[in-house]
Amino acid sequence: MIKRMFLIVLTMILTIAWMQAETPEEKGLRIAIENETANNGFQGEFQETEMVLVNAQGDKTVRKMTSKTKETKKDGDMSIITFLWPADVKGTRMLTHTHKKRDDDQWLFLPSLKRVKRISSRNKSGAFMGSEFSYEDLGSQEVEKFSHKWLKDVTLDGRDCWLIEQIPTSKKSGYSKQILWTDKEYRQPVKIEYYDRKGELLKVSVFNGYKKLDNWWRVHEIKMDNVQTRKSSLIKWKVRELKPKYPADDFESESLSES
Amino acid sequence: MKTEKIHTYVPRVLNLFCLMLILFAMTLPAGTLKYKGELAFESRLFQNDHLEETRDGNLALFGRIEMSYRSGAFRSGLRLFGRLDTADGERSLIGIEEAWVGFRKSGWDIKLGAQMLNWSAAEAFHPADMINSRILDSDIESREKLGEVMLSVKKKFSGGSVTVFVMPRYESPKFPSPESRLSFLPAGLEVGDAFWLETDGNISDNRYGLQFGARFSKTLGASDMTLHYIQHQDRSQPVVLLDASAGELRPVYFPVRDMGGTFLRVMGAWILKIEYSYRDFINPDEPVDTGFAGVFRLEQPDHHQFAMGLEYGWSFKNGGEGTVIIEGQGLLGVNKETRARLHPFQRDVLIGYRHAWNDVLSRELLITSIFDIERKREFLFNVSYRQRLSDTWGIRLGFRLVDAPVKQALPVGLEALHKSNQVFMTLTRYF
Repeated sequence: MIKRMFLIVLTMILTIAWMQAETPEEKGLRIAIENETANNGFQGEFQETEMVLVNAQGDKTVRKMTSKTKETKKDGDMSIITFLWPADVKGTRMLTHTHKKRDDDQWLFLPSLKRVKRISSRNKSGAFMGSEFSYEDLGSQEVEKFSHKWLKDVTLDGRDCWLIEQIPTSKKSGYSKQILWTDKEYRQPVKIEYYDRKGELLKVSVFNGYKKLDNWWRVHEIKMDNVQTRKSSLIKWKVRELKPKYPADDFESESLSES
Repeated sequence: MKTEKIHTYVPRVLNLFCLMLILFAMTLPAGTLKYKGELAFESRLFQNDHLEETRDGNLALFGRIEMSYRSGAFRSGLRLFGRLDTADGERSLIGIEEAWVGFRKSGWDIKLGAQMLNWSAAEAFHPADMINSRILDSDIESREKLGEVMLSVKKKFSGGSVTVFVMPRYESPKFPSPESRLSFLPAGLEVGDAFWLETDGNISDNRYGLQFGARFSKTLGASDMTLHYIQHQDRSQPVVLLDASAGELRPVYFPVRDMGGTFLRVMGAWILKIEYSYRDFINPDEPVDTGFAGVFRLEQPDHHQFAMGLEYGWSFKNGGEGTVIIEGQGLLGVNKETRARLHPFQRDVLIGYRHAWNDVLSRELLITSIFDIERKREFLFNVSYRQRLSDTWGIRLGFRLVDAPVKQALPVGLEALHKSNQVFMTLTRYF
């Protein structure tokens, strides 16, 4: 009798536990949402970055830019990148309004013509300034733009991480999938593998130099290696400041041409 | 007489005041001064037209400097360029594109001085981009501009803005010299100073008068739209008269009301672009005594200018991008002969392709062809290639073919540029 009661209770507990157990997809999505929430609330950010491009022969060239970002409450972030170097692109600006559920809105300011030109954000796989980073890599990574699947818990360089598989929802993405090592403390990736549309490994990015700014962890160096071409690019942050309060109209297309 | 004197002096005082303010502003402490510039070696070689009056080649040194200053809400901007042509002295000039002082705060943006505006939505045809005078000895699809003196007051609101303009001075377009291969006028004929028709029907060479207008812009999701109303001196469609005593041609510009706008919508990898303007010329009621060419009934026909384009882009696996461009422009409300007189691209279609390698050298190739769908055999083909040579040097080279044989006694529209085939190269040092 006692044994039967025990078995019944055990079965009930196991059934309830099974019903509440997350699928890997549910766990992956939950982790992604938690990470996004943990990284929200910074209001605004100013960045000054230097990008070093290295070709297969080891030759280096440098790109310099600044960017400012404004967080929005109802949708994705707004950002303006201002290119500082090389000299021919100095003063060119790109404005992006990121959206969770539709294509981003983007505008480009061409200083030689004093022209603000709207561009399509659909072709995200294009190379950013000749680097190994694509526009897709550097854009705001909204949770809704991927399907997520937790694979397992791992350790990388002594750091506890979730191993997450991300598949872009956009058919125009240059990737079939991404595998992320997401640090449990930083709530952000420390390594990402990018797979091309054929499913072959295309690039690997490694994130270094995480520092805590106010309540948020921010990376200060990302190295991207293209394993197929043996080229690489390195982004370094020289300045990274959180919580500047930018007025919303700084991020309107009308403001792009203003000095 | 007193009103006329004030009318003349006020804009000149404003010009001088603005320049002094700009120079003073740049000495102010605790501000941000930015600058950039370029020096270029320009060369172009035309197919020999066997005319002694024209020059088939040009070598020029071009320079541009741009400075901007910001201190709190105070702003100023200065942008100048100069060209020294060793072959065609009349092509040499110093031009002001921008020279203004401004104030920006709480959604208000006020500027006083010369500005260069760009209201384009399309790539080659621009009915809505009519404010600044052009330098006509430059690429026909993308003419260089001269700054327009104005007071502009902009008020921004969520996703848009309204701007009011007052422009007190008429800036003359710069015509090609009699030796230029890009002149729409008969070879060897000098173009003299412009004459301006006023709204009351009087004609003079006085370059000061009231021009005004407003522009509304709004972003709605994946669409951008603008509406404009400008009452100003038209700078693109003069009537050209012969001043026999001086032996030169004189352009007479008309007051016009330009009403129109632009619309642009991104649809995935496609972009739809529309530009429109209705040109309502304010013609004099009576024949005008020009003083130099006799008494004439001067009139320009009202008409619509409409341009529409589609752009489609895609990425390549190596990171490059391809873009196909299809655009068309038409003049409506006037007959075929009048259309041809008013604009070289009166019923034309452009098909183009841009290839950007998106590589370290930022290589880009642009191929365009424009052909007239109304008049037989009018065709313009252009290929240009550009790349970076280093972080500070760049090169642009290409060629252009114009096939538009004269079909009647005198050339009309693009026919004036028939066989002005050219190769060109520009080597630029940026700083």
